[in-house]
Amino acid sequence: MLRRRWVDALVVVVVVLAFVLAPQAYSNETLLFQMMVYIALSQGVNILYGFTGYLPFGYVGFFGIGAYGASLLMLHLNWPPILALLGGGAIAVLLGLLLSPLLRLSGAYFAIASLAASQAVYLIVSNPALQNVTYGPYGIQLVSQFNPTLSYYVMVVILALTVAVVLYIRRSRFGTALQAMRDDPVSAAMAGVPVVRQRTFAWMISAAIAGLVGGAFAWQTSVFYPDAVFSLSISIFAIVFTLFGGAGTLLGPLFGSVVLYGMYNTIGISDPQYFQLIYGLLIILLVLFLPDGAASLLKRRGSHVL
Amino acid sequence: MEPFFAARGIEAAYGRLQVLWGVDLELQQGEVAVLLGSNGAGKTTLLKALMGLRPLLQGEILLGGQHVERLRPDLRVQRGIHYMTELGVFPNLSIDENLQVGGFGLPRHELRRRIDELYETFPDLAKLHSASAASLSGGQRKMLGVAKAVVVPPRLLLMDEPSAGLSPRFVGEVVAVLRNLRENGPTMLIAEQNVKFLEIADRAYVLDGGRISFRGTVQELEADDAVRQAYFGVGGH
Repeated sequence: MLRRRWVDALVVVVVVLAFVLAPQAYSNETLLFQMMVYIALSQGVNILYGFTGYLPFGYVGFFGIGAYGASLLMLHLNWPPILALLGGGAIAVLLGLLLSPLLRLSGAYFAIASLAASQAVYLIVSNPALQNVTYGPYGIQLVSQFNPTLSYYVMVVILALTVAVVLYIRRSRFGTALQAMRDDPVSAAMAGVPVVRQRTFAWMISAAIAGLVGGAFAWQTSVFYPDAVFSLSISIFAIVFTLFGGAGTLLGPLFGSVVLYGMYNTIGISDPQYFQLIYGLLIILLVLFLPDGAASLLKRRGSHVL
Repeated sequence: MEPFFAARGIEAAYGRLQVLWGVDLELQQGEVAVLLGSNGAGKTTLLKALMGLRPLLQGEILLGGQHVERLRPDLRVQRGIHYMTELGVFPNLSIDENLQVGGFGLPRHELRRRIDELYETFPDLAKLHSASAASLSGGQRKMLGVAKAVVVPPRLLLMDEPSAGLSPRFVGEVVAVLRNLRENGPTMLIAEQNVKFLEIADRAYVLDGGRISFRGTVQELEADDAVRQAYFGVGGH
C-alpha cells in the first residue's frame, strides 16, 4: 500500500516537473499548454469512458461552459482569474448535474444525446440575443487579464490535480465499483453499489475537470469566439487520444495525448495531407489490432499498466 | 408452517407479451429449490421479477412474512435477497476486486476479514487472487460468482443458470461448491436446465411456457414420467 502511494506521488511529480521544465528546452509555450489541455481532457474522458463505459461525444460542452463561465465571471463580476477559473469549474459541475438524466441512456444513445446537449449549450452561448450577457457570437476578450506565464503554471496545477484524481479513482473502492458497473450494472447494483449515484459522481468529476481546463484555456488564450471552445474536434481529439493510449489506465491517455497531439503539431499544420493519412492509418491499425489501446500491448505481456 | 419465502400468483410481461402466468413458489428457510425449465420458459424473467428488476402485472412476494413486491431492487438487496446473474462476475476486475465489490457496503477491515474467510473456503480463488476474472476457467468463474454473492451473506440467493456455458466437468465443480455452501448457507432458488443440480435440492419446480407445470420433492420429480422424458432424456417405465 505504502509503495503504491510512493509510485502515485512519483507519477504526479514527474508530470509536474516535465511541464515546469519543458519551457526551458522548448520555446513554444502555447503548444505545451495545449498539450496539457488535451492530457487533462483525455483523462476527463477516461474517467467517464474508461471507468463507466459512457462515451461522451459532447464532452466539449463542459470545456466550453468552463471557458465562458470563468470569462464572464472575470468580465461581469471582476473576479480574479484563479477564482473565476474555479467558478468556471463549478458552473461545469452544475451543467453536469442538469444533464445527469442523460446517464439513463447508454451506448450510442448517450453519445449522441451528450453531443446534442453540448451543441444546445453552444447555441445558447453564441445567441446574438444574449449579447449583453455572453457577448453572443462576437466572442470574449480578456485582454486586461492576459497573463500567459501564470495561466501556464495554473494549468500545470490543474493537470497535476487531474492526474491525482485519476490515480485515486484507480486505487479506490469507488473506481473498482465504477468498473464493476461498466461490466455489469445489474450485478453491481445487486452487490449494493449505488449505481446511479456513483455514475453521476464520476460524470460530475469529469465535468469539473473539463470546466477548470476550459477556464484556464480561456485565460491563456484571452481572445476567443464561441466556436473555438465548443468545437466538436476538441471532444474527438480527447476521445481519440484516450482510446489510442488505452482507456481505464492513467498512462494510456497521457501517452496518447503526447504522441498524437505532438504529431499533430509536428506535421499536422505544415503537411496536413500526410498527417491525416498517418492519423487515419494509426486509428485503423488501432481498431484492428489494439482495440484496448497501446497500453494493452504491455498488458498482454503480463505487465501492470498504471 | 408459514414459508420463509413465498411468491404467489406472479404474472409478468414484456410489453404486451405476457411470459409468466400465476407462478407460485414456496421455500422454507435453508432450503434449496431448483427451478427447471427449457430456454424461453421464463426462468430469468421470474428471477428478475422476484428481484424487482421486472415489474409485476400481478402477484405478491413475501420474505420472512413481509411483503417485498413493492420494494425497489436495492431495498430488496437490503432485505437480504441476492440475484446472481448468468455472467455472475465482473470480467475486467481481478478476483480480489470482484469480492471487494461483492461486499461494497462493508467497512474496510470487515470486508478484508470476510474476503480472507472466503479464501479459506475457496482456496483456488486465493491462489489466483490478483488474476483477472476474464482469465479464469468457466468453473472458476462460477466459483467466484458464488463467492462474490455471499461476501455479505444473503438470506435468499437467486441464481440464474449457474451451469450456463460450462462443460460437464465444471458443472460438477459448481454443484460441489453449492453443496458446501448449503451448510449454514442461504436459502437458494436455482434456475437451471441441468438436472445435476437436483443432487443438492430439497424441492423442485418445473416452469413450462411461463406456468409451473410441476412442484414437489426431488424424489417426486424423478418419478414423474413427463419430467423424466423432458429433462432426463428417458421415457416412461
